Amino acid sequence: MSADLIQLLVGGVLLGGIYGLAAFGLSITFGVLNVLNLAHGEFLMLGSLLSYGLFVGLGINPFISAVLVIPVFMLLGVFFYLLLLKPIMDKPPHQLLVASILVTMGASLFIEDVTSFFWERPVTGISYSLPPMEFSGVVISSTRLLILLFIFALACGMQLYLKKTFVGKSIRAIVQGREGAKMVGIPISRVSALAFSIGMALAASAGAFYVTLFTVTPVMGIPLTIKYLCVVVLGGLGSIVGSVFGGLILGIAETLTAYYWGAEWSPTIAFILLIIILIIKPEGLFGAKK
Amino acid sequence: MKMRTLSVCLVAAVLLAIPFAATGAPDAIHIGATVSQTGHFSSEIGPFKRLMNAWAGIVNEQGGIMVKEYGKKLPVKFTIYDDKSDQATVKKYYERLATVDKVNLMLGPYSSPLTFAASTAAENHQIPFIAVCANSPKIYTRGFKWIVGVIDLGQRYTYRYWEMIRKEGKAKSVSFVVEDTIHPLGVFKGSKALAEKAGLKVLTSDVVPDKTRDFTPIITKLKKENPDIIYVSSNIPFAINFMKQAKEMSLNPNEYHCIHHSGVFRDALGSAAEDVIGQSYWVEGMKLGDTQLINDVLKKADVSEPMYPWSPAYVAAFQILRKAIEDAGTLDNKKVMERLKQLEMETVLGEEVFSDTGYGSINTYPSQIQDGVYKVIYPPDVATGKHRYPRRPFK
Amino acid sequence: MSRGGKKLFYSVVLLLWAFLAALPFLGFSYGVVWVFLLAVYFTLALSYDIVGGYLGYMNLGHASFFGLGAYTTAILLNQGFNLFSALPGAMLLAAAFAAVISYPLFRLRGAYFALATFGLVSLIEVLTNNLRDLTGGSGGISTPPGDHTLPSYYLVLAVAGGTMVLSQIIARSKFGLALFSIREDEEVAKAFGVPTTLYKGLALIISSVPASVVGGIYVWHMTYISPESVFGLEIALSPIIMAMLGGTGIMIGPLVGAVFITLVQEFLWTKVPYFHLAMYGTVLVLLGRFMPGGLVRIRWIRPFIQRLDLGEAVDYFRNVDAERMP
Repeated sequence: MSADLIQLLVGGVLLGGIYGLAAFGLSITFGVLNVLNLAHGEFLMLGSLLSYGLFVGLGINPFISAVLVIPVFMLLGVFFYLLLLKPIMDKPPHQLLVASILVTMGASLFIEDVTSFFWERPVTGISYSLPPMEFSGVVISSTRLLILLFIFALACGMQLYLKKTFVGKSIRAIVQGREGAKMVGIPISRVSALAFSIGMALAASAGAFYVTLFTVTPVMGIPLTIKYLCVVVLGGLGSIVGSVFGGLILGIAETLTAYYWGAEWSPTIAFILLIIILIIKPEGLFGAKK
Repeated sequence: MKMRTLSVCLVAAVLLAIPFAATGAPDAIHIGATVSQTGHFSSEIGPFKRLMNAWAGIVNEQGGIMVKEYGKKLPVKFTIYDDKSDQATVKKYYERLATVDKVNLMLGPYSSPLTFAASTAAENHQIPFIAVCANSPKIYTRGFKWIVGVIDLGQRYTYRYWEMIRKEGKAKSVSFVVEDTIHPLGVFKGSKALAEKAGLKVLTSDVVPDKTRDFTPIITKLKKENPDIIYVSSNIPFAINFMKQAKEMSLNPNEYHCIHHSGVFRDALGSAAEDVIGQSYWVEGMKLGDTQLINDVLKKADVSEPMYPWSPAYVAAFQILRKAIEDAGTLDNKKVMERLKQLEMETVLGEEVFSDTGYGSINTYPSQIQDGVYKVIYPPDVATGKHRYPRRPFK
Repeated sequence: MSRGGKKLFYSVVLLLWAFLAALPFLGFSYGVVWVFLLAVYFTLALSYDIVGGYLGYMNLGHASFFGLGAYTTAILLNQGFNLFSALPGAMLLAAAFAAVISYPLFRLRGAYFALATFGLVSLIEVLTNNLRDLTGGSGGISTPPGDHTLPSYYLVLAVAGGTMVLSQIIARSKFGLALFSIREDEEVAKAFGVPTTLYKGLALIISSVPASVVGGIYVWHMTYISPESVFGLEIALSPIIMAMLGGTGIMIGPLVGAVFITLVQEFLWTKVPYFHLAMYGTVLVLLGRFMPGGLVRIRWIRPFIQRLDLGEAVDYFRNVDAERMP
């Protein structure tokens, strides 16, 4: 393999990792609550603005803020769930779909407007970067590599949590079937609140990484949510491994397309891939058949 | 039952009528505009409502604008709506400004696509329209008679830079990275021709979708091509992401040119922004006529020029608007528009004359970030610093 | 009583249309622009509802028909065709497009269908950006300029009225009944002999027609469009939110939703200088939270709607199968 191709693959993997992390929380939220959370990107945005503030104001390293934001946003997530989502959870499925879209869409517009009123800047980005590493012609951005490792650790931790602890198992039980979980005595509401807050915290944590790599604005939430929903669907709704793989596939595909075919075609490939995969496997790559 | 139906219908009719209720025109010069307070342009133009009101405040403190026809000074009054950064909404509110608020003059919305929509309303109702941040040539080739634009066409946006490159004769090749939106694309088209005329070899030109955040493939390609100049024609977020990743992958050409390199660009990139060249309408310390008004308006509005480098263009638009009304001596649409078209004046951003189709002559100057300070480097008579070429590579 | 309600309803609608048709002569020139946009959004919401409400498949890609219609019309107008030969072209193209995508897309359900269709809008937007020679790329496309405010207003009124009739005819027909049965339980419908694949495709094609025509009229009115303006989030999501907010699966729902949202927005945007988007968001949250069935299914409005005798549609969605959601 040529150095170019290796360079591109490495770049694609590093990019895909970031997609994966953000999609991760979204996937849990959907799996447990059966709710398309359109406000997910807003929490990512808030997390990134918070870690920007911590970096510029207090000089805190974004890798540390990625951990710091977790408890803050777990609290926010519980609050959000109790206030807005819990009341609609027991509606029949079609009403739930409509209600959840209206509620989360409304919430994200609210967050967007209030944030952009108080956060008056054209764009936000931080000047944090680590010196690159070079191996025989292949340059690896060490910032991105570190982030990927961090994400990998987080994913493993999450997976362990879901497999080993009681709460984790309850979450998976709910993903598999709400009714069944209820029947064996899992406190659905409490576990849902927890799962939602974990999803929010992961989004905010992803936001801390996001601002290290890219620019952020208060209005980026909804487009990002939609992009990450695609990643989640690619991997299969409700599957954590799936969303990481979905992210990696998308990252590599976009990078290769941009290099060999032209950068203007790289967004097309995401949707073509999405549609092809869904047609072949309507429940996503790692989604459970229902 | 009948009564209930009737009352419901009545309430509906009243509700329908509310938005159409006219607000009477008091004796003031009534100017209409929309600002994208929400939607994707909001981060670029959000606080500009304050800018307009600040200027109106300054003018009104001096008693207003002299209108000969009435023999007295009239105060300025703005009516400003939020256009959601959406063309349909822009069109709707400019119609509203024309028919309900009955404004005397209109200032354009932000960006060329929105100006397209807004100017049709002005044209249909024959109201003078001053486009501010819009430089797509297509706006001015539709044969519209009621529009002038403050700034020069996008194609000529960086002509001073290419003039400088040609005179210096040091750079031999250039690669373009272009964001696929109307303004950067227009700048690229002009620049490509100008670069070839300056004797440079164009190695690559990549037109990239505006939502692109990852540039690994392009940077990989550019490392192989190794051009002297990398010219990034884009809006600010795009440029920040590109430069950041260029640094992370140590891509080191002799020169970077990012057409927009405002204060947020510098803050977000830190040392990576050093020696990057961009375009500025105005830089502190530049020898360019009386710039006191820019300082006054920006200070009053609490808008900072490094964050919003297109804000001086609005100040120039205010001056043009004022001069046109003063010269015309009336608020009659037709006469104001006539004066506007023939206007020749010295604005805060230099000489302004309108072409036959309506676009203006105000243009930008190449400026380089040197030790965190913006220095205009060409032409020599207004320059505040010297061009540093080649740039120092990333540490 | 019930018959009287129906009569009353039709006469109110007719009166409303007559009033709207007279609007330009009453001196409300801003009203004309305002109602024009309202009618565009209403037509989109109502045609979305044929698939989204009657069939129960949430088609987030409805804007792709609107955009295709707009672009086809714009290109044809620039080639020298007049509006009345350009519109059928736009209609045919959108319908053909709907037919082509219906087979693969309808293999998906619930959220997967919603997101795949949404991906489709983005895909077409990217294509529009990239096929610069045909579409003008991100710079947009302008059509021969001219003041078409009035004729486009009447055209769009006619199309909106036509869509209402179409929607009502479908709701009353055997075909509509089949769509409802697919919504309630697709497997059962199939077992009872409903040709589900064919009907789902037909529903999509029918819903694409008004959207594409309205797109064509829209571009004629605006004389300039860019990919963002016809495929963007605003045009993709607003009509769907209108339909949901008013109440899906019943013709009057999108009408109520469109009028309500447009009024609320007009009020907030012109009277409230700051935080109007936040307030709009709050309205959506409250409606979603307290009346997920839509405005027409609120307890004290429901009997009123039922009295209008628009079918039993108000009572639908009581027990939609849980299987629709994965």
